[in-house]
Amino acid sequence: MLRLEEMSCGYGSLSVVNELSVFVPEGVVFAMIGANGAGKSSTIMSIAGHVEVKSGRILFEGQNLAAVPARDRVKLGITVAPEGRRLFSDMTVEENLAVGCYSLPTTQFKDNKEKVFQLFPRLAERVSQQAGSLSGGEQQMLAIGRALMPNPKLLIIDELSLGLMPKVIDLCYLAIEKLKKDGVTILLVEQNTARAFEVADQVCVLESGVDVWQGSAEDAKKDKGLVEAYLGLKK
Amino acid sequence: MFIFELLVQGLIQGGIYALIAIGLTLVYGLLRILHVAHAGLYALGGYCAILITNASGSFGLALTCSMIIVGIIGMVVYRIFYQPLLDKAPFVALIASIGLFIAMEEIFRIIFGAYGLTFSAPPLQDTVVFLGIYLRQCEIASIVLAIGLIAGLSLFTKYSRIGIAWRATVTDPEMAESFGVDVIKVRYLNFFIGSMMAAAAGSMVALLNNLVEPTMGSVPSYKALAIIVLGGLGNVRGTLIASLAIGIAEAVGTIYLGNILDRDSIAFAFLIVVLMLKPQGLFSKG
Repeated sequence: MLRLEEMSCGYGSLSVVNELSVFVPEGVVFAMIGANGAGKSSTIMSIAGHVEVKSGRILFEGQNLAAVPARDRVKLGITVAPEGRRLFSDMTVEENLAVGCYSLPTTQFKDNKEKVFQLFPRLAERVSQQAGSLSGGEQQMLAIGRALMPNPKLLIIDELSLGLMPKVIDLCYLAIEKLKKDGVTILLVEQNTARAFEVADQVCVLESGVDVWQGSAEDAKKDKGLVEAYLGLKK
Repeated sequence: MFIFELLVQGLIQGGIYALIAIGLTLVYGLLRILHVAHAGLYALGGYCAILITNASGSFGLALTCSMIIVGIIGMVVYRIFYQPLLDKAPFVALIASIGLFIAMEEIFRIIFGAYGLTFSAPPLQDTVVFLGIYLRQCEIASIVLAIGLIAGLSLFTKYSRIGIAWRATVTDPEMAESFGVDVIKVRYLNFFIGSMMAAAAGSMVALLNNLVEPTMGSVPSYKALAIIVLGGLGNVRGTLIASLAIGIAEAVGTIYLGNILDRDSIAFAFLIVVLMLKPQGLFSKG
């Protein structure tokens, strides 16, 4: 579904990710892990069209994304729940979802909103509350909900569990499993490797902008040294 | 009763300031540009109102045309002067804007003369009694128009699809774009609506004073800049409240401090005092 071919990206003259090649097949949960500054978020934002691709290609369903402006990528089926959530904080939950649905005809709004509320009933209770006044967990749910509004084929979630309470993380992972069953392909960026390995089918480890390990989540779990070696943290 | 009258006079003036300053704060909120030439569009709105009224005899038609024409010119200003400068440091666009404002004043002078224009038969000048005070029809029209436009803007940004997308773009342009919002279209919309409201203000001021002149934008220009700082840059509600506060402070101050200070210096004295107490503005978003 998504293929990066020796993709380098960065800001100005600075390259943050170098010649990264990744293949995300349809229907899988693909976990991208790595320490801070490894280039995960830059990779994601270049898929979304907000970070400049310096060389190589990004292909989505065989189509080169270089020719597709950021605004049209949602129509291809790519959406992002970005790092830091980046909600429209002085707008209500409902309005955030409405912007999420902007690429679809308005008639779709109600149905898709109901689907999001089924996944995260908490959001239904907060529907007219300002996004900025939600708790961290609710904000993450809204960020994911907003990204689900356009019926994505590929949902990209950056730092799903960062700063959230364990109970809320459970809720979010439960949602991811449901989405996977519905056939949504998910590219998940995580620092919480234990949680990521549980839900993921495939794993890619980034370090300083290069991929140092790729394989199945099964193998990643077995490889005790992997997390320590490349993430510099013990789990 | 006297205080009530002052309050109403303050609201008339404050409504005018609000119509000007909202456009300015909208541009700042979206592009982080101080759009000084906005006051030039306000003056242009006044010129259009007088010229079209004198030609057609209908102020209503003139007001509508003035708002549409100036709205479109506002979009042209964005396209020609700001869009090519967006990648540069913010002061570059500011300098361009100041240059454009001065140029506009000179163009008004060259085309329409240094002494300005007046209505051949100023409309809406009859005095009526409203809640026990004497007001001219144009003063009432001015309040009604300000309330109508601001309420309309508020409904538009709250309930229309593009209005919601507009607010999203102000908060986070990249994310809005990622959900399919055309941010370029939003910028044009922003300039159209802001300039349209400035034109409405210019038209009403032309009517209230029965005069437009090349430099009529100068003082409102400084004042509107100060008002949007007071209201918390980019904050529309704050700008609205600050505009009304300045209008009322001027009306009251002119009566009680009129011997020492003239009206404009009262407004700026008020601004200086408020900004000394709250340097980040009254309603800063933090």
